[in-house]
Amino acid sequence: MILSWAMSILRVSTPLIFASLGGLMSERSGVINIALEGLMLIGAFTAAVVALMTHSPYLGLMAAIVAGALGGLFYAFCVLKLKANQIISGTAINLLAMGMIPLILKILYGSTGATPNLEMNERFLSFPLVLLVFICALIFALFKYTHLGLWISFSGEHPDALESAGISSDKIRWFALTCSGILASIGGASVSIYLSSGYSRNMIGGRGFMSLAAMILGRWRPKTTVLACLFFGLCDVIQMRLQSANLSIALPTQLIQIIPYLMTLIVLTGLVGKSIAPKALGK
Amino acid sequence: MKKILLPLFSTFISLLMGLLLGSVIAAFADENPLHILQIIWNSGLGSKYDLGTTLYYANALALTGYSVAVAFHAGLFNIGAEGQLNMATLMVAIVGLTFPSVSPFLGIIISFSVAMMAGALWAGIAGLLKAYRGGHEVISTIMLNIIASALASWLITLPVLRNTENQNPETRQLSLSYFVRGADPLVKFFMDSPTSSSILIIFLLAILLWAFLFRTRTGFAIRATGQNEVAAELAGLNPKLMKVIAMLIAGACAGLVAIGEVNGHTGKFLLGFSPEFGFMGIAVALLARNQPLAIPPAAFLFAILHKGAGDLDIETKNITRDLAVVIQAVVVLSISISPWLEEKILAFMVNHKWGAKE
Amino acid sequence: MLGVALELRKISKQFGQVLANHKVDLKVHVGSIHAIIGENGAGKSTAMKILCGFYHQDSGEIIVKEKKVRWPSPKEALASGIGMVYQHFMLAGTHTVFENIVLGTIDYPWSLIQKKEARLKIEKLSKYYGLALDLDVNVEKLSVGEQQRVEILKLLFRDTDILILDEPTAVLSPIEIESFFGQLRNLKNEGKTILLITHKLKEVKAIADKATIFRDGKTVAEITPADFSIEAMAELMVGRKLVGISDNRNNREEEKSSEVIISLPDFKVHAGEIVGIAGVEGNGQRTIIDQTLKLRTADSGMLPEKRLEEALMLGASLYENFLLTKWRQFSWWLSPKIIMPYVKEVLSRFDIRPLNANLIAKNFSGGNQQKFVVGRELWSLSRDLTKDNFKGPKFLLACQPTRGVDINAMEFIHQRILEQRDRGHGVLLVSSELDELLRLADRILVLYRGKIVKEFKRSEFNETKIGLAMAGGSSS
Repeated sequence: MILSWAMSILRVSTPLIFASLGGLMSERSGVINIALEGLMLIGAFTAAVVALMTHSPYLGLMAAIVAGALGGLFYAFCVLKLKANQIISGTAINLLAMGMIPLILKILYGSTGATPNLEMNERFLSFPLVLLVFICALIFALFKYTHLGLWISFSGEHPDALESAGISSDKIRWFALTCSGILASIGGASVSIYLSSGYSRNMIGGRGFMSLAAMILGRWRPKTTVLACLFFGLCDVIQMRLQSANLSIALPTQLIQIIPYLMTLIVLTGLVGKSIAPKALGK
Repeated sequence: MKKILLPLFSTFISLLMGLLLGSVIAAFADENPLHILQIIWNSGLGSKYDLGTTLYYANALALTGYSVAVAFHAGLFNIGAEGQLNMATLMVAIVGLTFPSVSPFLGIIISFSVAMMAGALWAGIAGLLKAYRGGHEVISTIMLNIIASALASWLITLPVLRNTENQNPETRQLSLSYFVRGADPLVKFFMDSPTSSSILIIFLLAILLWAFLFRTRTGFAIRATGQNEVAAELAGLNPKLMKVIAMLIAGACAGLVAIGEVNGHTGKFLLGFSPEFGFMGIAVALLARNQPLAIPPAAFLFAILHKGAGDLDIETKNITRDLAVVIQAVVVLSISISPWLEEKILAFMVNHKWGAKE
Repeated sequence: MLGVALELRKISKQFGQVLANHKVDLKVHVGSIHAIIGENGAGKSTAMKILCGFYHQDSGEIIVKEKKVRWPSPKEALASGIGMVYQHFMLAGTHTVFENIVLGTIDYPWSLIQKKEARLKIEKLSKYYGLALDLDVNVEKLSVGEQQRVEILKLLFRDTDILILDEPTAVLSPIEIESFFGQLRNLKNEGKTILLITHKLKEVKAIADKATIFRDGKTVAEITPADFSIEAMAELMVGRKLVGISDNRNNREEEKSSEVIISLPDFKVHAGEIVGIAGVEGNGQRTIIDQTLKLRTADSGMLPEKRLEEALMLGASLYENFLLTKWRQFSWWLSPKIIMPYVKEVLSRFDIRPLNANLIAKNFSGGNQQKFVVGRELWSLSRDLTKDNFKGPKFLLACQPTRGVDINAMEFIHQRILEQRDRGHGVLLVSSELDELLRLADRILVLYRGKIVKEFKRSEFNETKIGLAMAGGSSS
């Protein structure tokens, strides 16, 4: 019973953890990333299509990583090279992903709604969980023990200090945004080829924004961010179980759905502990 | 002259980029771009009924456009117009169902005040959080959007509100004191299309908001807050309060979508009635450079695109309505890089001695 | 004296239309303290930034330790032993002292932070040079003086032997400056070379072995400060005889006006007086400024400390910038027809070019922006029939009014402040420059840790006593 709950929480949190760690990479380096939603969409779509074509979820994931990296690079190009407003161009990337994917779907499969279903052998059974553990460990270590982690953090706190130490904060941000794209894309892929079988419209359904919320709830720190994602997962699982339990009294499942967002809002009030966003965020 | 012409030029380029990429996609999908344009044009403006539908969208887009623009003048990015208009529409429906037998005159007044108040309050939360607690408005408005739709989807399942006649996620029909569509001359003129006289609000608002922002002390204080918060604070302009006021006005504007929807179109709250008007409002405000007077035309343009693209599903083999979203995305992206673009244009003009006269 | 540590030969650098450096020559000896002096915009920082690899010279050469060099980026300059402590510290407050020091000392991103070795080295250095610090606290918890030590340790950790310090004493109290100079002498005795960018000539005389004077992008002289008087150095810096400002105060009787212009919780400003607030920055000036701002009336002006960041909306027109602080003098309906003539009045009176109030502030030169701010603050709708709107506001708050301006502008501003007093208006002058206060103020109130600890009347002005009070010492 407990194990089954733990497993389902871990499963539904997987995409969130990937994406919110992606958000964390970006925001710790000083760039607001509301394009997470679009990047997840790109990942989910690419993974499903390539898995369908090659019958291999691993190739699907690889393709999603490449697509995510490209997406992250494109966002970096807009905000770092062309100096675009981070929020506006992030919104544009979300819109672009939302609009382009159905058009491509229609050309590929004649339907705007979904890809054909993936067979069991074209999906992941548990690999994303292994990857998740690996990536979490990598990112914890990155910020705790390495110079690169220090650079990323300085790039978000005081980019001029980094520059004066002889390291280009722009380069660090290019790197961080690419990682962010890759991670968000893996998150998206784990929705389409791990949690479900194939891509369908609205599949991401705000998970990108949810990851952003989790990262804020986790106060821009890797460990607490992962915990926040698990908490979001818990709320999700409670809601699903309640829905399927078919209780005679109609419990408002929507209200349970609200809890994570309400909590994030409360964190934004700064009344519980102080908010510690990177100082140069958005600049 | 440079001050006006340059943004105008780069806005034009942004639109062109959108259309260009749209055409490229159409060409890739084996469709003639001109044919696509023709479909959009005909479907958006082809008949009185079509025009009426386009105006219905334009109404909502202009209102959300104002919402985004006013907040922007205070330096705030209001992604929350969607949640604000949902809350407002829901509240108008709830209040209308609670007090069904009032005179139509009172009904309209109640609708207006409830719509504006509900929208303002919902946006005000984000404004307060930003001004006094430093919580980023982008995050809080996204959260408020999600909370609003979850709250709405729960409330309409309650027996007191629920429409028992069908399975749609919607409230019961409001009384004719609120649902005044039948008496609206504009509805008749546009062959019973979704639009209504509420469209007149947006023209009035354009002038009012322009005068407010550019001619009054409070409007000036809001814009100063957006320009340089520290300086505004030192000058005694109370930027914190201004942020809250700007968000209240922004929310009230978005809330007015409820009038066109409930009083003018359906007479009830239907979950998901808005095809993300709030997000499209961002594109409208950006295209209009946040100038209230430019928002109605910008809204009209995007309304044609949105309405026209709807027919692409049926009229073409390979292209869908999503083309409109892509075009919007490209326009937004191009505008986001327009400061860079304008700088390049200026540099080009200086290098080629074009700017010599000014 | 030992060998030459570094040499700049005929360095020129142009930014757009501006010739920032023109054939700059500089020779610094090993183990010396070399002052770089000059007015704002004289080209000091450009030359130093070229030396550190931030900019690249258009022509000329840099010779360091007898080798011709050209840095692709600051990194290479750092690697060959040249480092700079900036006026605004390059430290991230949410990171520890240790992290701030080791930042960027390793080239390989994935290499682990070597805590033990690095700590040992830092501890050794801090003992050796007498720069005591706790390595594990977050930098934001340190005092300004301690933060400066972190900056210096950062350079020493990198084995820097040529240290460039940009206005290092601006944030220190007179007492702290003494101990800071002690540290500098330590460094010098250990063979480090120090370049000191400053505009405080008194300090140059006190500590520098040599000084190079910059004027209008050129190096005009290399002198031995010990042989020069401060006045002579100042004249070299400005390039003309200094006449000083006219102040008729000493000729007239001390008249006590009883009219109170503004009444703060701790003191009052009377008509016809300049009240000076002395104190090291961060000792409660902010509170006094905030209190004053709350009490101000429509007829008041303010010169904030960071003129361009705090007094201008760079993206808005001058018309709107005029309104920014003058909105109190107009009704809630802002009609350009009524207001525009006043803006034009300011522009023409203060000779601000181009004479177009619709242009946005960003498009004006720094000098014109400064003039506009001063002009705007001295503008006040006339209260009498003379229709002269430049009699100045009844109350003026001036915070560090001459920071970052050249001597000409400084005299202009000082003259205006004195005029205000002579007209019977009140001025509150907050400044960290003691000389400025001694020159202008009728009374000086000394702030220490948020409290006014001492008051000096003009007849009691004494630099040592005021300096002591600023550091919290009692002087009775």
